[in-house]
Amino acid sequence: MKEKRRYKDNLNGMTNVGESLESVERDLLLRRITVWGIFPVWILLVVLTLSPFTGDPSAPIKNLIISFWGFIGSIVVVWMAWYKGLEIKLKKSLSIFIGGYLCILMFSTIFAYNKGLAISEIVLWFTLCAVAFSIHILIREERELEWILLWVVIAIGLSSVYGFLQKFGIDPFPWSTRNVEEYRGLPSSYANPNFAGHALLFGVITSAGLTLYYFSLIFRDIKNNSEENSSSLRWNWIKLAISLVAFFLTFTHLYFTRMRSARIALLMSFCFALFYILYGHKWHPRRIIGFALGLSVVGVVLITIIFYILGMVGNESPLPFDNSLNLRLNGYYGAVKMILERPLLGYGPGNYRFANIPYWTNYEKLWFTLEKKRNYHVHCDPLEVLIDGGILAGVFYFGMILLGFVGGIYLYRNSNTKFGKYIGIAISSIFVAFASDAIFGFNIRVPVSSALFSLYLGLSQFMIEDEEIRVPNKRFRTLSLIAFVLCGITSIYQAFAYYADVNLQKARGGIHWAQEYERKNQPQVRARLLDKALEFVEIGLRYKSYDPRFSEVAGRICMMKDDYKSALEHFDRAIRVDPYNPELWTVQTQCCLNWVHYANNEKVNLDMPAQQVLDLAEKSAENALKYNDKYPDAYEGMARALYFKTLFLRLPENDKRDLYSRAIEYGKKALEHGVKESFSLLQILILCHQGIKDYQGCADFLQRALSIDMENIELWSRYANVMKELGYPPEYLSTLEKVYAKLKKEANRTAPTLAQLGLMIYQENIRRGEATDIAMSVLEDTLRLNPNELSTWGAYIYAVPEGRRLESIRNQVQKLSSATTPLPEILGLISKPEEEINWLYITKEVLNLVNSDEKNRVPYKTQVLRYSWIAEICFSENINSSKGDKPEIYANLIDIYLKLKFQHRALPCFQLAQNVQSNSVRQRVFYLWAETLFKMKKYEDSLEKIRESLKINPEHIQSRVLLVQTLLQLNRFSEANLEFQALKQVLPEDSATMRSLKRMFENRQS
Amino acid sequence: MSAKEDVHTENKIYSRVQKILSQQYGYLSICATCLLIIVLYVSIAYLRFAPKILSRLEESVGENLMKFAMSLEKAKNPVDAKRIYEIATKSKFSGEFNRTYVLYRLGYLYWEDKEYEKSAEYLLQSVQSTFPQISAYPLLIDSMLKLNRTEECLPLIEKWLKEVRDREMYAEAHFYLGSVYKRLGQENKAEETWVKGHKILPGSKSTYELAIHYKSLNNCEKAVYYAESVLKNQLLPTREEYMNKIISQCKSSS
Repeated sequence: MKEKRRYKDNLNGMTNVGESLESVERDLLLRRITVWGIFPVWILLVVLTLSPFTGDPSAPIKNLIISFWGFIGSIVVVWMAWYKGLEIKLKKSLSIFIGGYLCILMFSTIFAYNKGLAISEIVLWFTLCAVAFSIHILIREERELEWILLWVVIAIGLSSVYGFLQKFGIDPFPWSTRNVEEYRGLPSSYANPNFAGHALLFGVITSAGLTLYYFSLIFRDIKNNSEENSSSLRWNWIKLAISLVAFFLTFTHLYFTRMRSARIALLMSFCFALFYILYGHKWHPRRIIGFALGLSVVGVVLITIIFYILGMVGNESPLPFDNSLNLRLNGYYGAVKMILERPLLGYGPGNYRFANIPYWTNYEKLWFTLEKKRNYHVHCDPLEVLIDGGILAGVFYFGMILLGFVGGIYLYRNSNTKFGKYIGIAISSIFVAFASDAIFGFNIRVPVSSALFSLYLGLSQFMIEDEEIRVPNKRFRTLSLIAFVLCGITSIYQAFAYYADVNLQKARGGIHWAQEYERKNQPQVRARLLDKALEFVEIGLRYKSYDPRFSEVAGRICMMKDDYKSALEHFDRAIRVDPYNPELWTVQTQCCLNWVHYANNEKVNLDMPAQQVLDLAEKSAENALKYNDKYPDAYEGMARALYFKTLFLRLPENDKRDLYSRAIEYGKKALEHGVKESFSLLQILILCHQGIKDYQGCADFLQRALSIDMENIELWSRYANVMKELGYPPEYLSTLEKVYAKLKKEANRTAPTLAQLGLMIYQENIRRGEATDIAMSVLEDTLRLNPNELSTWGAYIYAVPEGRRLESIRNQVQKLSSATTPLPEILGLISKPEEEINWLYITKEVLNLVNSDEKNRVPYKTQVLRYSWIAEICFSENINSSKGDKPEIYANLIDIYLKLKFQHRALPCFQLAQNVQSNSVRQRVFYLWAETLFKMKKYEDSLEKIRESLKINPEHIQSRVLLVQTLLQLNRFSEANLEFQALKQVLPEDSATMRSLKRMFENRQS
Repeated sequence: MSAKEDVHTENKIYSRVQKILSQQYGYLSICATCLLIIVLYVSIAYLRFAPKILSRLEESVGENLMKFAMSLEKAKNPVDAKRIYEIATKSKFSGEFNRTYVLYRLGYLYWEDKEYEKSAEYLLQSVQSTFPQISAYPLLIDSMLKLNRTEECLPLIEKWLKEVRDREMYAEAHFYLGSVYKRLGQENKAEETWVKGHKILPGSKSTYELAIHYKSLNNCEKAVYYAESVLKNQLLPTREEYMNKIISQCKSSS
């Protein structure tokens, strides 16, 4: 009772907004419900909510909640204006600073690069301003102020409890950053320890203020001990306990976040509070601000001296600052340059993240490349505000902070209660801490701290001495309606933004699972997942087309679907809104190159000329390097693009040599800057060196590649060729022997490579004039190690003269049959007595094995080593045979040779297989014959074979397509056109084949 | 315009300024402008000194890369850690000892991946620096032995023995020296060195080698003595099983 009376007494002594509006009797129920009911829920939700459905679990959902509050606030204001017919008085300074800041931001948006993002930032700022504004209208009593602050403390305290649970490993939330250092800083419900630090400052200072206040109340009540105040004493004890616990929780949590700027901010606020209690309370607020400005001038002199010392004194020695400070100091440099470049209107709200890349220093380039990150904020709010909206925005920003600070002091001065005194100092201290914290961070851009800033800015106006703008009911009605509509729109906007982020996360999930199913070799599930992911990201794009993440993800999905044209369109869109991002340019390069590679592999036509695609790739890599010359992936992309030009474009030899040299230059730079996946780049460098006939350079890179993948059989084969070009240097044999000895320790696992190395050692020994028997010993040794591996047999058989191969196989099989390792089945078939060998069956088996190897992606060289020797034996053993199945055997050999890319060996087989009995096989033989001749550019011969194939089956589509292609090559356009028109009857016009033929027609005719 | 009018205009402006200043927003706006000027002044001052400051900061880029790579190692990502350490070796360091440490870590990671050539290359640099990383010696000698560069080990171990500071490492140096002698076919010298190693730290790797050595010479008495020493001192827990085997073999043969 006494407590209530005291509040009423307090009310009598204060000037508040409510009083000037209407009497307490006319107070609205809806306002009370909002303050006492909705407010606490809102504070709890803003501080504690996390969403597992978005990539950033904090910002999108919290922004939605904040905007929703703005909407509720506007409903109450509309109610006040329309239903109750009230008029209001607004604080002039608050209205001017908030309105001015919003206007400046809107104006700078007109000139912003990414207008969509600037608008989204304005929406956020509008909501925050609406929160501050509505709070200053709705809060009328000190106990309401106390109630709200208590809930702030409870919410932040609860969040800290969650932070400590994280410390002890109890955390049900699916964090993706759980294994990252950041998680150890206890991100709690803020998603990041730094963000936590910004919000915790509010919690620590408010809880300290409340604790002292309740303690003083209890102290007084205990002194005046009576039955009457026992109930209020009990409540005060409870409130004290809450504040005290919250203080310890938030303070300890702040310590664990390891955030230095928050500690400095806390120290500054403590110094201010101490100063104010000792001296400042006797001063007028204006004098305090004047004194603070004077101190700032002294600070400026000191800072300039520090700059001088850092820059000039001890010039030789480096500055041992840690990475965090280092990055900040580098970031500030670029930020200042940006401000001076556009001092009046800035770059538009939020546009720093896109516009800052060209201002990166060398250190930033290096660091952001290594960490695959970029700085979305300056980490100094005053500078970022100037970048966002120019100098005027800076004035309003500082004005808002000063207003909050002064508001706290006025609360202290004008309040007759202890509450006003303690909380007044606390609020001013909070603004001091906020300003100090802003120098090293971006607390105004983090959802919780920005919401709390708005809340405290509104609360600070409670007893401020300021002129008021009287808004008559008629105008109030109009204004409230506008505010209501705008708040509604911003809420809907934030809801869509959240929905878009959810879809982006779903799309990312889709990509992840598609990759998983790719690993499991389930292409259909993968394709379905990618379709779904694209659908999700396209939904997101509808609402956030200004956000480059969406287009980038869409592009990546299209790339995975091999739809490179659409991917390029998406990347183009992403680059339009984020034009300096080296990563985006590099991805575009990769997309172009993958497209060309895919078109070549899958024999599909590009939708635009290869020259154009490769030029785009080169240009994109060039742009990436323009904005970050330390980006290794861009160097790699450039090297690859130049190499592809030599590979896929018809260029004069001189141009090719020039491109090879440039590719080598860029490739070397990529390696120098630490490219992550260097193996494929090394392969390109090897080929480029071969292209310019620099075999020594080629050998160097081959050795480097072999040190990464020593078991790569193709590289060893290339190594042998390069060594041949270098005239077999003396160390060649010793290198081979050393690696052979090394791989021998894991002979089973490395069988094909060991076989290849054995063969190379044998050949080198023979070249050096070693006796064949001695040279053969290494191959026999390899055979003993891996008798179950066909490639080992392949290596061995190559060393045996042609006529003695079957006999040699029989001998070795006999020798090794007693070994514990079973021999390959096919050897049993080959080593039978001559008359029992079923060559047709053997060729069929080999064909099956080749197919299975192809499916299992066994390296090509291994396949050659495994099967070509069987084909060779089969060919030579059957050439003089008169058996009936001879054509069938050679028909199978054709398939084997073509699969092993031995066209020249397949050619004689066609002749021998043309009399095969089965019509379908014969037709296939003729078709393959024609195709092989076509590839060898023997078009007349090819035409003849196509005619043969079509004689057997006139409807054979592939033969008809090949016929059109061949006729075109022979410049027999009218015939080709006739055939083409006929094909149109059986093939859909939009099929890849028809499109490809159409393009061929166009190309040939032009 | 007359002087009287001038005074009048001045008074008008003065009263206007006074009126604005008397209002809260006016006063705060002027203070905010002052703050803004201060911020701009500091910014321009920074721009003036920044090139020098940043170039000095760049001097310590190696240290920051080192810390980054260390955090990657801690997060069990040795592949990226190696990449960053390699970039760090090409960067500037404020302290040469940090470069040495980077070389040592790089050598260690390559040694773990059994890439002994690269490991030896980096470890050699780390022991040849102005601030030699003594803990690199065992890995370096081990890599050299794996690469069959036995003869190069001798001068390195001599240097190591001069720089060694604690008993454990002194014993380890003797173990490696003995191993090198053995590889070079100088069995007696090897035995002598291992005995020294055993005396420095009984139960160390030298003791273990002695047990094996004497077992191979069928000198069961000494083999059992050294094997028991290994078991007693418990410095090589993973090798105790083998020592037990030697003891049981010797006992059964006697």
